[in-house]
Amino acid sequence: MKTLSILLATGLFGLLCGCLPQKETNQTTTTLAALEIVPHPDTLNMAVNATQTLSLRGTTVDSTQQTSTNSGILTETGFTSTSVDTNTTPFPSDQATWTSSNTGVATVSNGVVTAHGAGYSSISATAGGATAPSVLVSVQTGNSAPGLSLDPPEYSVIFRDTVSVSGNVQQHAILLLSEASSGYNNTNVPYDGNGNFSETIIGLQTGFRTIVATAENSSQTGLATTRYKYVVYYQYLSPAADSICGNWVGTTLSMNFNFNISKSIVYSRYDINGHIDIQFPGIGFVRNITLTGIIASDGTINATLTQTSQGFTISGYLKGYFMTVGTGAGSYRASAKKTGWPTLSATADWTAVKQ
Amino acid sequence: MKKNLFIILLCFASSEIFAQSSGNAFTILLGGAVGKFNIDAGGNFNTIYTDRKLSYTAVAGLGTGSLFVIGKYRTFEASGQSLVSNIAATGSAQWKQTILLTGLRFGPGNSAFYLDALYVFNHAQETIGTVNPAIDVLAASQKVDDNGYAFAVGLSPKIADPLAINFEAEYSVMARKATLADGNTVPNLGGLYLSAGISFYFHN
Repeated sequence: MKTLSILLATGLFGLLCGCLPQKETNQTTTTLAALEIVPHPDTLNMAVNATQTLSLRGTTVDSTQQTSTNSGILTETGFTSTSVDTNTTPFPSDQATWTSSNTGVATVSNGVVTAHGAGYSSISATAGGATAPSVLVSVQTGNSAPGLSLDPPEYSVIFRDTVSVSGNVQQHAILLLSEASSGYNNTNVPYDGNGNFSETIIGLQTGFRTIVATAENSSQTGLATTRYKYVVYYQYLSPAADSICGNWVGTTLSMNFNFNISKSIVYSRYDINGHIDIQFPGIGFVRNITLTGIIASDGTINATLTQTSQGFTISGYLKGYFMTVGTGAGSYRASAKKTGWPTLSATADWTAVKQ
Repeated sequence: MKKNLFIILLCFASSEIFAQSSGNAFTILLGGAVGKFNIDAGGNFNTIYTDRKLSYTAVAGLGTGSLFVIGKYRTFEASGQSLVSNIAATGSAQWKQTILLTGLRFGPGNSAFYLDALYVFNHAQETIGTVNPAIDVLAASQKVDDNGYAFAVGLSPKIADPLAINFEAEYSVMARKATLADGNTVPNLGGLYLSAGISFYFHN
């Protein structure tokens, strides 16, 4: 009898629990936010019948919605927040849809690109609603000049005697790289299975310098492609380099911003200081975000972005380089964080002109 | 049980000995009391409001003989931690209640013993929030008004004219249950109030 009572009570409790509404407080969804082809040269140079394997890297966003409440006797309040975690991991090539814009030039299957005929084709991959930025495939015939492309920027200002050159060359080609003032002359630059190369040239002399890259057809050296990269080398903190100092006006798609570059005698460096307004989705413009950093000796602009506004903590970076001592370009990325809010972010490219 | 019965009998006996009424003379009553208010709000009230302050009451009345028209004004405050879920923060809660009671006091046979029958106006305000960290969207405040009835029994033995001391037990219950913003009904804002104080009876 006692056992029966316990069973009945247990059953009744279970029935009651089953009928009661269960408040769902956490809900996690995972979405593929971005897809990227790796390696990702702007141009992939291939010979007819050659194959190259491209792989993918996916950025997933784990979004968790959580409802938080605060309850008294008469009062109850709450909010639903979204926490976002981003992970970038290799993405299986066979789970993406690969396409070639010109199958007469190149076809692609599960990331394996096969060149068929001379011309250009754009290779792209799509998965889960995300599309990877395309790669341009340039195919040359056996009797043509091999393809060669150099990574940007084409023009830049540097403040040391060292410059890096990278790019992509058609397989089986002979790659030559030279710079006159340093005496650098490499007649057989190595590159990987995909034709990607990266070389560092040291010992440049100050002034306007031209780096010459040439890809020769291995069977007919007369068939060659030549590309150029230009750098202006000013010695760091020299009077010529000081030309970057002054007030600058930067431009993005949505707003202008201002910064100043000054020479610090104490720290023997160039400082960059300024302010920028950034628009964040959901909260609008955050004004007067402080921009502060230095100009590195390799010519890069490295600044951090900081501000506190409406309870939000703004942080991020602004990076770039000089095309001349009076022009610059780059990008910024900033995020806004506040307890109970999802992390908001904003990214944009910028150009700037010295006033 | 015997002990309680003895105390009650002693109270009635003393009420005759220390009778505070002076015939049918016009009398002004002024007094004050301090006591403990055990609110009947139920639910999580005792869990949330762990720090309950003593409740103070001011009393005023006019009457002749054994009958008074009286008014009482009382305040009650409590504080504690509101119930926070799904976020690492400590809740905070403040409760402020003012109670206005008005009605009749009847002291049979000019004794020190009396009975009160009162109408009650309750006004309560609750403010909740969080600390460590303070989160704006989890802070809120709500005010409610609730009316009801109260009954009290007390003993007011005279010490030295016009001064008397007071011991009183009062129970109130809300007749009208207001509706909160979330659609729920306000819990009973009444309860048992046990107090001690002093009274002055000024006779004409």
